[in-house]
Amino acid sequence: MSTATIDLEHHGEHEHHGPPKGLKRWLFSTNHKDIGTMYLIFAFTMLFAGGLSAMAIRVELFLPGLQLLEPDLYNNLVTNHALIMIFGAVMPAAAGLANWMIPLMIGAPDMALPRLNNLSFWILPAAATMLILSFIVPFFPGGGTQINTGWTIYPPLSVQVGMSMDFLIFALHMLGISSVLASINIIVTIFNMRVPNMTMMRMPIFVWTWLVTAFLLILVIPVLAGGITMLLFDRHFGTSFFNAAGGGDPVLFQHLFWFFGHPEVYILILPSMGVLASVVPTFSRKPLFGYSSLVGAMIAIMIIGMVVWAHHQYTIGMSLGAVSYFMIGTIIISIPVGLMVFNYIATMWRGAMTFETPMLFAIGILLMFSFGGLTGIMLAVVPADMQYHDSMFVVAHFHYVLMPGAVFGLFAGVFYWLPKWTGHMYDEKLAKLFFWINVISFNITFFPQHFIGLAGMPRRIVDYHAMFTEFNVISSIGGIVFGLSHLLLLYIVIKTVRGGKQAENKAWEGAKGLEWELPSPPPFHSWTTPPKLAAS
Amino acid sequence: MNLILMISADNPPQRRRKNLRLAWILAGFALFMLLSSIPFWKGLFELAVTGAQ
Amino acid sequence: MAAISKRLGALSVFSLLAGWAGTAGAEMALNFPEPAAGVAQEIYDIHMLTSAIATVLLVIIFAFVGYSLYYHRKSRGYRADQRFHETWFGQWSWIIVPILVLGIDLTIAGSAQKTLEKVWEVPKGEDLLDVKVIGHQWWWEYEYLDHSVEIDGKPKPVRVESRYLPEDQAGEDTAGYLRAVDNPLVLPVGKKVRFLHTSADVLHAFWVPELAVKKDAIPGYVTETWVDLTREGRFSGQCAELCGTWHSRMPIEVEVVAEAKFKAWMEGQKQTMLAAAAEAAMDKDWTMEELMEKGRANYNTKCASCHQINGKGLPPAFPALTGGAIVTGPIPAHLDIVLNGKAGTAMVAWNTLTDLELASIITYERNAWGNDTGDLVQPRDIKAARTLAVK
Repeated sequence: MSTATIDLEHHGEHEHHGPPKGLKRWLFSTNHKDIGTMYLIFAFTMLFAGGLSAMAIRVELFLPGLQLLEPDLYNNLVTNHALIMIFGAVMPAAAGLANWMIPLMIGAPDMALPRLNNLSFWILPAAATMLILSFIVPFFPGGGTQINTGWTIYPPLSVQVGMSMDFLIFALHMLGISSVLASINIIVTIFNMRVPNMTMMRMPIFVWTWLVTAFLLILVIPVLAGGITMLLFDRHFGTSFFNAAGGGDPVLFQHLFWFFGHPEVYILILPSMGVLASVVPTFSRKPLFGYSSLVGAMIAIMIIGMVVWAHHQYTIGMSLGAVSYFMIGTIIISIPVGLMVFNYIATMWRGAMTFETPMLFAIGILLMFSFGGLTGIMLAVVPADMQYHDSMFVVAHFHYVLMPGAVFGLFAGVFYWLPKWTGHMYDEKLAKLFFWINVISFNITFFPQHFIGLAGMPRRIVDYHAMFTEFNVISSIGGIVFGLSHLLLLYIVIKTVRGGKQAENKAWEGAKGLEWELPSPPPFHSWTTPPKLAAS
Repeated sequence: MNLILMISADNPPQRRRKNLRLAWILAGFALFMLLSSIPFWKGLFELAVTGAQ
Repeated sequence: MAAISKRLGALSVFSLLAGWAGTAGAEMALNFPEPAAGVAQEIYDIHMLTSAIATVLLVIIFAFVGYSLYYHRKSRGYRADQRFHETWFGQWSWIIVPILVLGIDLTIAGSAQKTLEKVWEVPKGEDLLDVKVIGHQWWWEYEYLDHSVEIDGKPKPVRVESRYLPEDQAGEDTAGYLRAVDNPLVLPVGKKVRFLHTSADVLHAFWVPELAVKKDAIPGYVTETWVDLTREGRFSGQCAELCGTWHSRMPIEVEVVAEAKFKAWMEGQKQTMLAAAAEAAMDKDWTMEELMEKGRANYNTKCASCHQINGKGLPPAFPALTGGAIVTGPIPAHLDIVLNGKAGTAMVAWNTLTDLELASIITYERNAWGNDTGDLVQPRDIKAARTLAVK
């Protein structure tokens, strides 16, 4: 892959036509770059929506007592923060990167199914509207109660909630359909649209991560859809799938939910890990270490990740045999994940590193994701989990995994490819400032939560005992700074879009891959003539 | 509609057929996961619960 | 709130720094509390072991990354080793690393499995004190299955209702803000206790950090945990599974006392239960004053967490009772919703209360806060409504 020699002479710049003008360009777009841009803008908007809810949560938790939020509004925000961040911010942002980069990286003129691509994006704003409506509806007279269940929407509590739960279920269905359609498109693109001579084992790792992610999505999203459909039937049509009094089983929903929910974690993380595979070699000026073991590790993560879901439910009263199996399975996942982290560190090892912003984020990921992974091993240990379960320790753990593992990876990707997308270099000084504020305030926010969790503070509580005050104060201060720091990111991105130093075709000294052979920004239709890749 | 056709990348018909075939296979697979999720997982779950006792 | 402002006073920058340095660690609670049961000690030990392993691994990772960041940088003139992956290490790391990680995994999983086998299953063939823990929105009910009193010729287990006490009602000698309850769960020290968890409505989870064993309360299920209590004391916990509006106000207080004290307490509970049963069984006409007084007490403990002390509720989740259509409307409809609950809402069937309790609550609701219907509901009316409900 990285040793590709490209015959540029046969790559003509014969554009058929430029982009159409006005709203129609975006509404009817079938161009992978435009759709990728829309995905990224959508995700960025949702990042702020989810961030605002998180900041409201942190302000409420600043001190014990009920100051800002009613308990149900707090629970509603907790629910919405999770769903907006997962389905609104991280997944669309990763899909945006996929749309932009996969065709460029594999030398395809566009995605395999451009109109399906348009559909899978345009479902998203509608779904987000439904999701936000589920938050807003209870404020109107006759709007019923707020969603006070958390994103896990466990019955029987979710059966008690008013009509906003129906909005939520509908939104989840639409988000799921969008993800499945996008995944189908990505798999077809990767299988059918590679340039000749780019075998599977020569694809960039980012493409591999998305292939695995897309398969995971197709496997697990329908199961979530099945679960929430049953929930909808329980709510309105008198069925008793999850109603113990009617012979149903409330725990069944948890199994269905986490059969989706655990692979979902890898869906969020894997694309960002793929970004690292581009970023780390570039700034280490050294080939990626262990390409095939990374591919193997990813496939192992996909397979093992699908059979360990019940470690989210250790407290439901499973048999000894069942918890032992889920514990050992979960601990075993550290092997492929550890190998992945090892390969990236080995890529840095004996490299000639420079520390541009994407690299700073990459190093931050390696350090903090390792930390989150290690607390993950602690959580996998069933007896210890009896104490950790549903405490703030869990909150700290998954934010350490998902912020660096998913979001920082997306930031790294955005900074890494921004020169390619816009044709302008971003402001390196400001970007580094953003990195430091972001990463330091992130740690101030979430590190103390380990301690209050161990000391006995449950998660998802609106009010807490005074013994947890100090760390919550620290965490809230960090949280506010962390939230606000993203305004700086917004400023940097807008500034880069509007102007800046002209980026070269190969914006980074050590960068390798087909995308860097195109001009920055690439023409509206790129690789209309496939690049020629030498047989290995 | 014309607009969409105008700006979409033009795949050669053979590749287009190949793409669509794979897409339908994947969609069918997703549908299978959805439909199986209800009876299959319920059955498996019951098996796990009774097997544990 | 006084306690909070005191703590905030101590929250100067200096004390924050001191806290980070660990000197105030005991006060700031950085880790699990001191275990109060043998199983909790086991859990504490495995937690410390895995934390230690995790810390060592973290230090190793940080050390390698740190070394690399310092030495392998372009600004130091370090030239990238383009053939690093061709060294023997590069050739074989794909198998060396997984084997190393597997070794660590097996170390952790092996000790974890040993601990798990000790704590997970309730010991068989031993004399355990059985306590049924029932989660309700938003209070706990404890039933001592091994201790019962005879009421109406049937044995009834000794039961304790444990509810959150607002700060102004809690005395000085309580566990503090959000932790005070009206009736704690009293257990004898040195005894093995089995908790049987279930729920009357939605999911809850019983969690007392000193006892460490956490288990979900699931409607339709009975899950179990056990503890061997090792020291006396008062231990606080709370519901750990999101259960709706007042999830944060579902404290648990466990009082572990000496065996003799436990016996005396149990005797007292039995007498109280018998007295209440005798009173409820009295066939007499209660006066408005008597019912209103009992009704206020019963309403304030059992109904006020949702419908509020002032009867104004928290709409839309919890409707107001002041001037409400049901409490000022026909009596049978009022009886029906209290006895049978309302499906799909947090309003459960309150038919486990005695006739006297229900009569007093309904009378109170129909006459308090300016509802002034003047209706007087006697226990025998409740009894009649119950038989009607059975049909």
